Amino acid sequence: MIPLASPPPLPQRAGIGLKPDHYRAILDSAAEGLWLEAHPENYMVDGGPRLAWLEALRERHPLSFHGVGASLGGPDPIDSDHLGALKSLIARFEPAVVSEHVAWSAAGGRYFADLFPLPRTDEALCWLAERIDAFQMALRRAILIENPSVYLPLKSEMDEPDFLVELCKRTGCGLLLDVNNVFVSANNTGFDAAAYIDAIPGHLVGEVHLAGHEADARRGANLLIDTHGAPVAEPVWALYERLISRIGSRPTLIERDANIPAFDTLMAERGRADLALARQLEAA
Amino acid sequence: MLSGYYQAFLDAVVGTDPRMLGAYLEDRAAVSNALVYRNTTFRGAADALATAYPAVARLAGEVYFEHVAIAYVEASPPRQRSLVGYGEGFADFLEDAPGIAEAPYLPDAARLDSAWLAAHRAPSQAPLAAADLAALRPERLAELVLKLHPSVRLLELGWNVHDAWKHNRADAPAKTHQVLPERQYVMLWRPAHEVETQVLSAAEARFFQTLACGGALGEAAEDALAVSQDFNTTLVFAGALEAGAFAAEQPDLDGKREEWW
Repeated sequence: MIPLASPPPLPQRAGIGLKPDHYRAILDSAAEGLWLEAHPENYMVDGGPRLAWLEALRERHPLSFHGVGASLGGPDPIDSDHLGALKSLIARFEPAVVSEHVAWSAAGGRYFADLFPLPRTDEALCWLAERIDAFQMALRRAILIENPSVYLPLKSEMDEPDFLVELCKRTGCGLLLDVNNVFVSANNTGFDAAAYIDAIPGHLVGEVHLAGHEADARRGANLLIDTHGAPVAEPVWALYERLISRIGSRPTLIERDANIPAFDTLMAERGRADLALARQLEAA
Repeated sequence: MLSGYYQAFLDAVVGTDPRMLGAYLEDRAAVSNALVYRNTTFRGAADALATAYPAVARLAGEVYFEHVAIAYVEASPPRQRSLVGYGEGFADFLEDAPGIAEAPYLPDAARLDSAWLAAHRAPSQAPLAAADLAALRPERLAELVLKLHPSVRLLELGWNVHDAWKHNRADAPAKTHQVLPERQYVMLWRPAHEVETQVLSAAEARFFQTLACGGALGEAAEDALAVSQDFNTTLVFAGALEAGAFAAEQPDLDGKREEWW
């Protein structure tokens, strides 16, 4: 079993995705209980202002690293340059959580900067479990893995919740449950989002993501795209309430990567999640 | 089975042959959804180029930049698992890009954008302070090998595009610049948080090039004087020191300190 690393866990509060546009505002903000999530790939540089900002912000707020480049489900060997850079960042910034995706993003030495889907087959499960295991051993800590947003109805041998639970059982990793991804995938590939949410065992969920989606320009609402470029949609909020009323509060991230709003606007959205979490804690 | 799937997916998303992917789908008609992945992949890399080359994007105009950015992504797709350093070969690619004759200074503007980014993300180090040299006997200065700050980048350009480049990196109102095919030397460096740039004379450029290659101060001065008799070593050296162009970590200086002082 892999020992969990020592940094304190994320608070049971709402955090925001860290964007350079907001560095100054976050530093000046008095928001209490705020935590930050960064893509470590954006900080894989030798030096300079980006790292200096992250250092300054890390002194004030708990941090989570949400990796996008490991390609755990992919055909290429685990990239040692990427792994090395990630390990140094983890050693330097001591994030409370490290997460990655059920996806692949590289093949033949080429990096696609996107999260490609995997069929939920026994073969894919074995391969992904082996790779998560190797990745956790290399990092010497357990990670959380995130459910994908899916645009293709891949022939599969099991439902996604079963696939994810089995991955956790085999590797000791936890889940980063992205509620928007559940909603988008349910819409695009035709399953019941509420039933999916209900099927996730609460004890496996270490973090929750909330983000916005947009309808495909060509196909309209038949094909929803996980753009992180809009506010969280109402039906996604409803699924979120459904989730936390069952499993209790979890660190929850408002993820925004495009059409970045003003800091106060983003914080208002974060406040809504924070309020839902506070109600949950009261009820418990 | 999984390897067949990877290939079928790549053929559809990165290549232009979606036929095999259909066999892996519940509904073959949904194969057109693979376009979502295709768009994200090419869009992501092209956006990373636009972020890394803001002045080129502005000088080239949206339509032309989009065109050359996608062509570059197809020719040299990302290979590292982070897009922060993506696009190192973009300036050379632009040299041969169709339509570049309309704006032949764009490759040099790209060299400036690229050097700016390299200076921006170079290792952080305090610059050398003039006080660190104060106790050194002036006549021994010529023997000293001083390391430039790790962020220093020296460029020799075929077009005098620096001013137009600098103006277009900022979100300043459009302004006409006369860009001519005249040799221009530029130094970029980041003594603290901000990247600085300076246009150099040919002699100054030679001085810093010799230093960058590990030459001693005296040697660099001689090289510069060979380019122009007007080169003023004391002035240029003091200016560079003041501007933070030298690294705080100086192995040769540390050695000579013990030997000379």
